[in-house]
Amino acid sequence: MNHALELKVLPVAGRTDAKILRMEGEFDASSVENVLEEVTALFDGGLRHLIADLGNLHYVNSTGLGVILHFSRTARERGGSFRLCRISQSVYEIIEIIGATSLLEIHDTLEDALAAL
Amino acid sequence: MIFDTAPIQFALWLLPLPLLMFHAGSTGLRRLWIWGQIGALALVALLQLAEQAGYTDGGPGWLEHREHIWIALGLLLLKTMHAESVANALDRGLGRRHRIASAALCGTLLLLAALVPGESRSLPLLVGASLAFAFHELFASLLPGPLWQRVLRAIIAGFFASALFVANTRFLLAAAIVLALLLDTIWLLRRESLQRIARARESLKPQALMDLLSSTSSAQSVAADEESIPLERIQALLSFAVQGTNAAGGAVYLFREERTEVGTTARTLACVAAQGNLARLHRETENAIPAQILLSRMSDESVHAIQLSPDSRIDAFVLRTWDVHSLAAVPIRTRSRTLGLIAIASRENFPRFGPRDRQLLEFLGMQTAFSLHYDTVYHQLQEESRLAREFEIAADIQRGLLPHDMPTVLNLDIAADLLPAREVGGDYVDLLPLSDDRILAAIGDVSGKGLGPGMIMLIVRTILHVLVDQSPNMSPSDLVRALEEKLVPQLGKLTFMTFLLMRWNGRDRSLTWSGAGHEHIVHVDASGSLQKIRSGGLALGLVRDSFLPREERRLQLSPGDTLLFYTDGVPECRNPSGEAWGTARMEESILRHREGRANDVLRGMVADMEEFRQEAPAHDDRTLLVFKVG
Repeated sequence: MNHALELKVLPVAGRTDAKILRMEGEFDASSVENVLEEVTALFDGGLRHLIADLGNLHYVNSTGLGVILHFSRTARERGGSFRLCRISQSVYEIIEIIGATSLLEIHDTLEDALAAL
Repeated sequence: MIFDTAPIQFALWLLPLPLLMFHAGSTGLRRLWIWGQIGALALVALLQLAEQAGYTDGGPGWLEHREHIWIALGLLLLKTMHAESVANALDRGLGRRHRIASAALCGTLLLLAALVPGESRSLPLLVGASLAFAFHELFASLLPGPLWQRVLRAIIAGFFASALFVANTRFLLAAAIVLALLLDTIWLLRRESLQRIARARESLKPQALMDLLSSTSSAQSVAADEESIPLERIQALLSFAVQGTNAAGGAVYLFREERTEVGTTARTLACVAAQGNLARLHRETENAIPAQILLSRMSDESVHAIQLSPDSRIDAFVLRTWDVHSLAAVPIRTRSRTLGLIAIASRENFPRFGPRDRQLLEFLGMQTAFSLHYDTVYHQLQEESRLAREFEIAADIQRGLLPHDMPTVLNLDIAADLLPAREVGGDYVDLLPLSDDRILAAIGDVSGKGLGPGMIMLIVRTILHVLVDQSPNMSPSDLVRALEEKLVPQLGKLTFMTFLLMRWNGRDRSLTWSGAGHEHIVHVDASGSLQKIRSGGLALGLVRDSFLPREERRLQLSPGDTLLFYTDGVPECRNPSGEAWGTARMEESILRHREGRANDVLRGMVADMEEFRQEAPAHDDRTLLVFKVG
C-alpha cells in the first residue's frame, strides 16, 4: 500500500491565475509539510484559484483535512478560491461528518470546477 | 408580659455569631438567612424595649405572642448557626468531633439562656428544645448514613418538640423547631450529595496530573528566557482562574533563572501575567517581595491553596502592599520544584473564597505547572530524541487524564478507554458527574499529531471544567458554544477539533447532546437493532470569525440500550496489509458484544479491533466510550 502523497500541479488552459492540483495517494500528517510548502508557494506567487483534483486520493485524515480547510480560508481571504473535485465517497463522508461541506466548494467533475472559475 | 432579661438573653443568643461569621465562607443566601433572623430578633427586642420604656401600649395583636416568636427565632438562629458550622466542617473535611463540639456550644448557650432568671415559663421550653437538639445531634453523629436514618432522627427530635407542644400548647414554637430540624436534614443531605459529586470529580483529575508531574525527571529548571515561557497559555489559565472564582484580579509569578556575571545562577521571582485589580503588578517587576512572602507561607510539598488572613501581620503586609482586601494563592509546583505561584484577589463585596474556588485554583496551579514543565522538557530535548519523548509525554497526558474509576450515575453503566497511537493524536474523553442522576460526557479529537494536540486537549478540558463548575445547569449546546468561543482563538491555523458533549439524565433515561462535527453515535436497542445517529454541528475551529448558536438533540432511551461513541481512529485502525477495520466491522463487533455490561462491550470490541490489527502499528489514538442503559 502506497502511503505517500503525490502532488502534480497542472496548468489551466487560458488562465494564468488558476491551476489544478492533482493529489494522489493518502493525505495524512506525513505529507502535510510538503503540501503546505508547495501550495503556499503557489498562492504567494500570485495564484488566485486552485482546483484540487482528488480523484485518486484514497484517504484523508483529520490533519490533512485541517490543511485543506486552511487553504480554503486563505484563498477566500485573498479574494480567490480553493475548489475540490472528484472526491471519493470515503473522503466526502469525512468532510460531511465534521460539517464542512457547506464551507468548501465541492464539484463532481473537473469540468464543473473549471466552469465555476 | 415583660421580658426584663431581654438584653441579656439577646446577647447570649448572638454570642456565637462572630465566631460563625469569622470562619464560615458563607454564600449570599446563607448569609441572608442569618442576617434576616438577626433583624427579626432585633425588631422584637426593640419593640420589647419600646414597650418597657412606655412608648407603646401592647402593640399589634401578634405581639401578644412575641415571647414565643422571640424564642422560636432564637432557636432558629442557633440551629442555623449550628448547621452553618457543620456545613463548614464538612467543607473542610472535619469530622464528628467538630459537630459534637458545635452542638455542645449551641446547647450550652440555650441552657444558659434558659437559666437566666426572669420569665419562668420559658424554662421547660428551652430545656426541652436543648434536649431535642442534643438528641438530634447524637443521632446525626451516630448515624451519619442513609436517608431513613436521618428521617428517624428528625422524627425523634420532632417527638421532643411535640412534647413541648402538648405541655405548653405552644404550637408555633414546636412547629418552628420541627421545621428547622427538617430543613437541616434536607440541607445536609443535599450538601453531602454535592460533596460526593465533588469527590467523584476529584478522583477523576488532580491526582492524575500530579502523578504525571512527578513522572518525568529530566527537566530540572523552568524556562530561563522570556520566549520559551508559554505566556499566552499562562494568560489564558489566569483568566480562567479569575473568571472561575469570580475574583477581581489575579497575577502569576514565575521563577526565572539568570546567569550572573560571576557565573552562578540566580533565581528571581517575576510577575509574568496580571489582570484586574492586580494588573499593575505586571509593571512593577522589581517588587516581588509579597510574592516571596506568599511562597514562604506555602509548605514545601503541598499544592494546596492558601487564603490570607488580615489578622496575621505578615499577611496584612502583603494585602496592604498589593492594596487588596483578600487574597488566595496556590503554588505552581512539580513534585521536585517550585516554579512560581498564582494569586487571585477577591472582590470587595465577596471578601472570601469558598472551598470550590480553592479547588479550582489548585487544579489550575497543577495545570500551569504541567504546562510549564512539559514545555521546558520539550525545549530541552535534543532533536533526535524529541519525537520519541514527544510521544511519551503526550501519551502520559492522555492516559493520566482518562477516568480510572467510572463514576456511578442513575440507570447508566459507563466504560471508556483511550488507546494511544504510536504517533500521537489528540483524543479527548471525559466524564463530569453533575448529580446522582445526571452526568456530562465529552469525547473529541484534535486534528494533528504531537504535543500540540495534547496541549489543546488540556485547554479544552480546563475550559469545560471551569464552565461546568460555574454553571452546572448549562445546556450542552450552550456549553459547546462557550467552549468554542474560548478555544478557537487558541487553535493553530491548521488545527480543528471534533467534539461531542452529552448530558445523561437518569430520571427519564434521556440523552441530550450537542455535536461539533464528531463521528456518528451508534445506538443498539435491547432487541439488537442498530441505528447510526448523526452528531451534527460544525467542528470547532472551522469557522473563526463568528460563532452561531449550537444545535441540541435529544434521544429517549430504554433499559437494555447500548450507545457507542468513538473517535475516527477506531474505524480507521488498519491491519498489516493496510486494510481499515471500518464501520461495518465495528458495528458487527458491537452487536456481538452488546449483551454484557458496558465494560464487557468495550473490552469485547477492543479485542476484536486488536485481533484485526495484529502487529500493525496504530497510527491514530482510538477512543471508545460505551453507555449501557439500566
